[in-house]
Amino acid sequence: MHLQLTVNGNPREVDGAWEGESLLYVLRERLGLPGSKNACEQGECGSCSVYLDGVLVCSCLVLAAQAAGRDVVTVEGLAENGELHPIQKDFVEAGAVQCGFCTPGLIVATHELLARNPRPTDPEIREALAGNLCRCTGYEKILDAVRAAAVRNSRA
Amino acid sequence: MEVLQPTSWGEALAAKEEHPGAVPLAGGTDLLVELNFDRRRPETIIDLTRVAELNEWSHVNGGVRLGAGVDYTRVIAELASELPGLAIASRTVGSPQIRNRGTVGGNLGTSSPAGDALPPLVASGARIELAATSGTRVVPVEEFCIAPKRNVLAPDELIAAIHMPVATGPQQFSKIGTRNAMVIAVASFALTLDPPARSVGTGIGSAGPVPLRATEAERFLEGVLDEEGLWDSRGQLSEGAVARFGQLASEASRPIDDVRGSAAYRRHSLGVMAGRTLAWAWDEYRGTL
Amino acid sequence: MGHRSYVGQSPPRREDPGLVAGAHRYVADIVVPGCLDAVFVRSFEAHGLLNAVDLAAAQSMEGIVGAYSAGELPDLPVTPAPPRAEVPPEMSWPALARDRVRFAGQPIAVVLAADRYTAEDGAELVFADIDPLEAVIDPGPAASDEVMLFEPRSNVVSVREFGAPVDDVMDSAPVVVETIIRNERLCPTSIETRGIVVVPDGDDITVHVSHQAPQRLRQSLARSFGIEAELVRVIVPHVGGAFGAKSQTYPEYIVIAHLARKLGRPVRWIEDRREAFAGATHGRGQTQRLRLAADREGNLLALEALVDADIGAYPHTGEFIAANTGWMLSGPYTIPHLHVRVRAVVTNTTPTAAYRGAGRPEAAYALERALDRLAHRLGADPAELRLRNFIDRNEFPYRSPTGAVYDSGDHAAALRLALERAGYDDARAEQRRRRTTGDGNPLGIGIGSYIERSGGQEGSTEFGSVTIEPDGTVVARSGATPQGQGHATAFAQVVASALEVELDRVSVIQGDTDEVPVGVGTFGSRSMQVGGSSLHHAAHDALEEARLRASAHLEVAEADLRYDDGRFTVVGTDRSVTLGQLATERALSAQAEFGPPQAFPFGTYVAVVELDRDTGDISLEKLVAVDDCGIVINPKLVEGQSVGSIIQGIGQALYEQVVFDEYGQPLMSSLMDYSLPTVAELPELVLDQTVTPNPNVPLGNKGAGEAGCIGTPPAIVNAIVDALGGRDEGIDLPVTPEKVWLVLSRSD
Repeated sequence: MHLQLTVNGNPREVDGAWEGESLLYVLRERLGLPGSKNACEQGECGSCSVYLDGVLVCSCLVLAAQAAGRDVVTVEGLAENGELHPIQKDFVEAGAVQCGFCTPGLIVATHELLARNPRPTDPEIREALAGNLCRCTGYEKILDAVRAAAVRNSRA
Repeated sequence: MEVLQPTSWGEALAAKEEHPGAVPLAGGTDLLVELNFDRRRPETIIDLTRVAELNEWSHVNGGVRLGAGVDYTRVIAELASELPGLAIASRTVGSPQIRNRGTVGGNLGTSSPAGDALPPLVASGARIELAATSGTRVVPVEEFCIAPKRNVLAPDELIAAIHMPVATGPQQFSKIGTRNAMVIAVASFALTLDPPARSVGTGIGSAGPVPLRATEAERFLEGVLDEEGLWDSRGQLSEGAVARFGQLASEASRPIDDVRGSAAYRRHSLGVMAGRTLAWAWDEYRGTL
Repeated sequence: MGHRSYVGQSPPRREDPGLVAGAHRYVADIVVPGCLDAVFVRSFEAHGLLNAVDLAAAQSMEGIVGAYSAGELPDLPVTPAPPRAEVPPEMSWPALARDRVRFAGQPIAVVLAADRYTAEDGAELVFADIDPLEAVIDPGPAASDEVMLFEPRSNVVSVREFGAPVDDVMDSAPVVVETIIRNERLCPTSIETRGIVVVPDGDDITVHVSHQAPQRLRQSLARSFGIEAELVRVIVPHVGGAFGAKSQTYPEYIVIAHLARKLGRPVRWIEDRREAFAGATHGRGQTQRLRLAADREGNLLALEALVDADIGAYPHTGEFIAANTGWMLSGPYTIPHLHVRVRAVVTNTTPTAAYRGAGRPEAAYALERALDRLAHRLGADPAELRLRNFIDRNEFPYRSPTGAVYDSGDHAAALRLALERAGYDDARAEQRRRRTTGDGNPLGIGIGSYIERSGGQEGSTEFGSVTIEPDGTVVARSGATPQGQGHATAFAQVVASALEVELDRVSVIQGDTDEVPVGVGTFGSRSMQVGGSSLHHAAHDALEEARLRASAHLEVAEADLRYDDGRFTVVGTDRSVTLGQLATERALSAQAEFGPPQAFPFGTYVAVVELDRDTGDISLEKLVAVDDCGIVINPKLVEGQSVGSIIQGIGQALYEQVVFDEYGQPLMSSLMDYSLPTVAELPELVLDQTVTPNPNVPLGNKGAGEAGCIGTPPAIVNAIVDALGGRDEGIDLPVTPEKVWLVLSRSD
């Protein structure tokens, strides 16, 4: 299967993909973008979260063919000019990272939350991040990171 | 494996006619899991996400025609006033990522008794529009699901849309599960009050082979509301009536024991949820005086 | 400038910028050209005779490079027994099943292809002919040997006893409470599953693996294949969580390494989530029968505990973890007479091994539940009962009746602080008000006091070395390999503090056996206590060596040298020499393998819960955690460990359980069925600490990784039982709304 799509702003082409491959597989194994993590392959953990045409999705649940001609943004595409995105810095600052395996998905999910709701309340943060499992941090510091971002947004 | 990507409804139906064994794909929240774990290797998949008609909803004959491909996030954002019961249930589906992809049509296609969208459809008397190149038919949702994960779709048919009346009164949904979020229902209950029609609708999820209606509970409550003139007076509903409604709803269920919960607990919690949704809905109705 | 110390500070973690960018590499991210993907075919029966494995269809499928069962691999080594476990040779764990399968999920065959999808399709074509045998799931019945896994050998692998029978005390004691406790099986569920890539090069192999103990894995692989350890290089990239379950040599690792060597091609195996539930090791899994005796004032007289540990189909790490439970069972209390018997029993289920806490949560839960039963029986306040029986702070070091030597402690102080932070008296008043008036939902307050044990096995060491580079930078090497705990930052703090240099000058190397050939690993809350202490000693020795050399270099007595920020200066002059200059003359480095005694962190947790009278729904309103892990090196890292561990404890208390049906089929095979806590389950947390320094290590610290999952479950369940007025029938872990409802409905 031949596939054309835009990833992190760049047109990309894939040749020889099997039709049953997920977008996650294509990103990781064919496009050299392993930032999106494979941890459950059934949409339960959120580690593979990416934007598909601006919509937050689990890339493990998107058939690669469904992404043909579409615009995909992964965690690798959030930094600007080699500088971490402010949300990424918030995670570092808050101590929201331990093993880091769920982190890319959480960063993308938080990015999406703050894009549509710059100053979320605690219940809104919890609702937005409920699909991103983390086994290390216990979530408290992740909440702190998102709260910090919300505070930054209210100052802006 | 072949993936067909029709860009119009006509193309989609033609593809399904030509490949009756083809598996339709929308948000992928069920099918991709089966592909990822090698439980299924269909010869043909029909990707419906490029069929614009499926992703639209509109007002038809005073009701809502909800395209089968409209995702839960849009149901929540765009239909909370027209279809509040379905919107509340949609909000309890999985996570934002799942709600962004999952569709009511997909929930019907999978026909799991635990499908969160199904009880509100039952409670509101939704009708499912099924289409083939040869024509279209409309099936009441209760006749659509026939057994766990089985429905009346013919091999050449696709789910086109869900027809639901616009809410004329309060609608509620409640679900009990094993944690606070990302929950598969242990049991769920949907309630629709239709004041102009003086009617009550119910839907039970995860407590039978298919989504069920609590018909006796509906008749009982309609009787109480009529006899006591409560539709007009918007007076208080007695605790006894609420309890009886819950009991009848509970008795309408046909649950099994499984790893998520026992039949007894499902029956019991349905009674509680029926009573609570009724109390919430009735409070809302009284408040809108 | 005065003495520079980073102890007690929380500098930013060094790995985080790369992690938040998705730039760091885990094992599944490593690209090795020409690497084959392996997929395992696993037993669908929990117990059966494996008559034949038909590989023909898979072997002839296009794209399949190879398909193998045990029959095709006569030289395949068995899964090596872990250190310290008693594994009888006749019960050894074959890397691929031969003749017999003993749990659903056991590897039977392996299929190789250039990509995973093809290998999975090939695996579908493998047919295993299995005659099912009756399966035994529960350790109690298994111990009776009616169904045997390894005839003629008993299913009871080992029996360990602590103390002597206490029947006479029980018979004469004024009050005896009895309870049977189930510590449910848990799946450790790191978000990254297991994974390994083995790259052969002649006789050498390089192993990239998600692991907690690379040096141990290296030795274990070398022994298995009968080769020199020097031929094996183990590299641990970033690891996506482990929690004890990545410390072993798994059968899959043996198979992958064997095939890579046999074929001379790189082979990788990345576990999928379904395999992680059935095929990776589980934790906990004990049935405990306790009798606790006291006088009428509540002074404890004796404890008896009969523990059946379900260690799964093959004795492995789980065999000695059960012994940890026995060893820790007297907790923080003075118990004059104690008898514990721990039987490790095989069943037709997934083998057990370490999972965070590894034996201690099982002990703390059982004891704390029994104490609350006793309090209820006596009509005593559970806090008062604990205070009455705590080991006095002046009695340390304290030798427990099981033989453990507790280094230090002030249990009463931790409990009092926890009560204060929980608003215990107010909560009790509110509870009384609700009970009297019948208003509102049932409220419960529960206490879990615990004692941890950190450092790994008694006397176990860790390797640490400190090398001063000619440019004045410092390289620290440690055998403690992280899985997200932030070792690189915390170890740098220790070394920079000991050398009194800028933190940024210290880099830390871990997880590559070419760089650090010696080491033990990260588990048992030992990294900072043992590994950090070794680095401290190594840094200290390096500095003393430098001082000696500086004295020679500058031709003055050591006493005339002043040391500051990496530079020795002759007092009263501007003559000086830096560490870097000294290292330029001759390599300047020191190493240590320190093995301090075990330490015993402790604390008290208080939970406040409210129950929905109608549905049994449990609302965890507040959780107070007071931990004492001695001197804290990096508060932010310790807090992170604490909260993460607490949430895992909440998972054990309320959500998580691995369930098998009567045929041994796992009923939990995905994250949809096995409910991990999400962010929506995070309660209001109040964290606090007391500080009782560890007298046996230079920095006074104790382990901090596991306390939360030890203290949390008993606090929550005691609170639930308290809300139920002491009725605990059927309130097993995890406590679901349905279990609560059953109790509520029985009484109404």
